[in-house]
Amino acid sequence: MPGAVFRRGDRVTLRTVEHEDAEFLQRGHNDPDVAVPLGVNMPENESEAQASIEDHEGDNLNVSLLVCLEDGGDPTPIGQVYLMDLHHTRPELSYWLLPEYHGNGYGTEATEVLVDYAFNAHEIRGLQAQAFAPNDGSVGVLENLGFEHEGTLRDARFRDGEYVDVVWYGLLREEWEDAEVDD
Amino acid sequence: MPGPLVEAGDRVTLRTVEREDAEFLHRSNTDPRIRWYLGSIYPGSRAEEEEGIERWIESDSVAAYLACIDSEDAPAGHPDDDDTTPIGCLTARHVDGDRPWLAYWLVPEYHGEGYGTEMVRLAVDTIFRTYSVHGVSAGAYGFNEASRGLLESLGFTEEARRREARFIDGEYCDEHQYGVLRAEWEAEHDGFRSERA
Repeated sequence: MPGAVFRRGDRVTLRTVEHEDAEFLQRGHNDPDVAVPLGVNMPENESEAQASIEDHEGDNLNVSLLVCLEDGGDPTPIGQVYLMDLHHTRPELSYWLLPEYHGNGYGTEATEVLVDYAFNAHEIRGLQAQAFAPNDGSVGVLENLGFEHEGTLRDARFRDGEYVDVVWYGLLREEWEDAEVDD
Repeated sequence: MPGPLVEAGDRVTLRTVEREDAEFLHRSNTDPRIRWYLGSIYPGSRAEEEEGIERWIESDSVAAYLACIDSEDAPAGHPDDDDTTPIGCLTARHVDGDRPWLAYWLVPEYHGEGYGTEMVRLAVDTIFRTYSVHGVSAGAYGFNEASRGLLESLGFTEEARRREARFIDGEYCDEHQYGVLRAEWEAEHDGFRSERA
């Protein structure tokens, strides 16, 4: 069961990761429709998922939150968002949703809530994100949020039987502020 | 003092980094003519430098070479003080992955004479011959025209520019990322493999 609400969007909340969420995270990290586009290429058992939650406690440089749907009852976890290396000039963000929740704009909404939190709470210059070039869904989320395509690393990762390009995206603070005004 | 020879070029040799080279490597994060360009901007102590050699230069995922100018009769094995002069260093992280990342520097006294290009060319040859990696990456800040020119002259392609991704010397700087694929390197540097007797 996900923990307390940390930030709210219109339809999704970002909630803290609790020990009993290991089973949910393990499902996401192993599902090939999530793991392959995310670049996770090793299996994770439940005790590893548990250990990774515990390793994360007290870590002030990385933020991990569960994306949840709220319908009045218990929250339903549908994915995860992360912010990595908050001490860097441009921390990196990452996200995944279970396949059955793709295509409803939940990824864009959850990532937007995370981006707003990152710029509002931390004195960062910008944010960055990377994705495999064939991963249209992920790139779409970044472009919806105003991220600029900053380059393509050719054949940079071996994934699903072949070398694939990695695309890099960046969003600077003033670009995020301008987008906020437009909303 | 650098260790045994790994590779020899026309003017530069690559030798192993030894723990006693901490004093030489210490310059890379203290000397302002090196540290801003390298992005290793926090001057540490010599003890931290020694710890860094043990913790990451000696780890399996890192290849590290000292660029040296050898005297005529320098031994391939462990040299003495007057046999060789270290002039720079090149490291490649993630040699156990798909795409190692290069970082390199040369002491300022040897800039502008082609030693840096020779060091990087020799090291990339060595990496492609030693590890079954598909390509190699390197980065340079926007203001580092010498390093960007060096990479371009060796056939690297600029693949990404991360805008204002690092705070260096009082301002936000762009990080330019370069890459070269094995097939491109082999085509451009014909016969890069050494003669094996």
